[in-house]
Amino acid sequence: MYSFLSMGVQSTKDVEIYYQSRCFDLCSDALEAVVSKMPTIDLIPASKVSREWYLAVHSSLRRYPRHLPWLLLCHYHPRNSLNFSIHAFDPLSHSWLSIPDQPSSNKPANQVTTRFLSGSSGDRLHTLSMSKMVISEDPFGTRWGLDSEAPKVWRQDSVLAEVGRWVVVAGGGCLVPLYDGEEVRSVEVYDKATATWQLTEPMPVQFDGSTSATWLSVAASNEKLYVMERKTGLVTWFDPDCKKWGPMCRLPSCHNVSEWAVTVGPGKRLLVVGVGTTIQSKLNVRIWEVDGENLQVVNNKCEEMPTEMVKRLFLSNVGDDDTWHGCAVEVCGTERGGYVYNASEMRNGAVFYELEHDEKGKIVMRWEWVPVPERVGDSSMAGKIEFGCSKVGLGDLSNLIF
Amino acid sequence: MADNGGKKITLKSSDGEEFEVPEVVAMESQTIRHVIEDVCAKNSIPLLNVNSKILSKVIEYCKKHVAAAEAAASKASTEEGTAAAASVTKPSDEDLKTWDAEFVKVDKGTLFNLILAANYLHIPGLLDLTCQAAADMIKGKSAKEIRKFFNLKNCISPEEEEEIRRENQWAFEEEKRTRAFDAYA
Repeated sequence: MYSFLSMGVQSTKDVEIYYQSRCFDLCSDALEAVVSKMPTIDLIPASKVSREWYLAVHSSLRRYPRHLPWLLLCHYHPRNSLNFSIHAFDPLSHSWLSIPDQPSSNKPANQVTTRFLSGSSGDRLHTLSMSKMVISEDPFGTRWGLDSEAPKVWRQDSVLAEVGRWVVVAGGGCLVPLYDGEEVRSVEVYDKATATWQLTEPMPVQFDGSTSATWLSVAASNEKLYVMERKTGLVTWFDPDCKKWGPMCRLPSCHNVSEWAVTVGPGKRLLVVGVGTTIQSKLNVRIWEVDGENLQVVNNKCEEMPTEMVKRLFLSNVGDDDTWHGCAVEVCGTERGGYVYNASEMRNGAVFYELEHDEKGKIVMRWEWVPVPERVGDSSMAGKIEFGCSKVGLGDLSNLIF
Repeated sequence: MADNGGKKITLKSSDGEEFEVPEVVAMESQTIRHVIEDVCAKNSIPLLNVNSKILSKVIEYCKKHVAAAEAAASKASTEEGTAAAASVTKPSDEDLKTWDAEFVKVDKGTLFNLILAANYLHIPGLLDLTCQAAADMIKGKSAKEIRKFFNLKNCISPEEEEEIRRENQWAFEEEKRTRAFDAYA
């Protein structure tokens, strides 16, 4: 009557032997359940244990894909940026991974730009010189794929982003005198398919005076590059396919926001983050969802980061008179989640946010504090920090050499 | 725990030992719940895949969690206002977590058998707890070390190892292709 409970076991004796055998063979369900609890980095050796384990790992990833993006940290010496180290934070296992220097055949010989390049598949290490542009294919700099000549207009501190099959270079400050037709606001687009650069419509004139990346927050989706002026909340997009700039929009600044930042959000939307003070001088960090096409705030919804985390982020910005000053915020993320941090003091840490899957309620499902690794966070250690964010797959991790 | 008047059910381990438990505790197992609800069980349910040592541990887990849930529910209904109730349940959440952590401090043989039992009996909380404990034990281990830990027959041939390496490589290439496709989409 209870045959369905017996799972094909022939007799009690067989069961005894099963338990007394020294070989701990978990059935595939149970093995998959164990694998699902393992940190992503540990799935690499796990997938090599045996055929059953290989199947369990890949089945677990199909059932519970590990979509949440990792936080990338580049720690470098300001006077010698060839000397840098990469660390990566896994939001599922809440732990940092230190990436040792990776041997790579086509690693650029000259210095790597330590600020991450925004990309639709994740932020990337890259190098941009007067003659060349080289972009890493993976988050850790193990494979340097895109190697091309530099854009025609030489600029410092420009916006550089990968948007699907395009690479866009926009704005920047120019140290070299420009020829006729080359403006500070100029934009060039590189087509990976044809390996050529093309000069296109320059940045809108409203961005004059703030064309350097220092003044701008940038987000890259598969179709568009979004550029937002940090101080004013002025935002627009650029479509590299039709080479056109979109509408200009200023986020409603009635919320006393002193600085803005933008990243991609769920669907074709953007996430906009603003730091500001309330009338009672309370510091807050707010997040809005914005339509990716018309740049209007969606549903008039706005959510706040938990106060405790805001305080930790801006610990270094409290004056003697207990007021807040010079709070600069930046955000990097994907359609699943991302990281908000203090752009003027990365050492304080970051705040991870995971986005809601369904359309109905909140924007953010949960917030979580992310401290920087101890060695890096030690303020007595020289060196600067830059953050980036990227989806990390098993393939990326499997290429790492420890 | 409300023991008085509650219906009792008998669970029989594979080695013939009988355990009498309140029905609500036995129902922590979804497998047993189906048997009770759908099959109109008699008072005794034989569990051919779980021996007495493991079954007693499983029952201990279910009793503890049922008691904790009942305590939390009764506190919530007697406290005035949900805010007060929420702050009261927090310390007992911590206590339960501590109890759970102690519960899985067992030898790996027992742990694996607990995983199998939790899987077979469909007790989600116990499965999560035991699988997490096992995953923690193999954190940072290489493939060889994991094989040793599980006492897997070390007869994985170089050919099989190479085959798995190739299949993994294919899976990673596929992952990259999908990511690149997303970029072009």
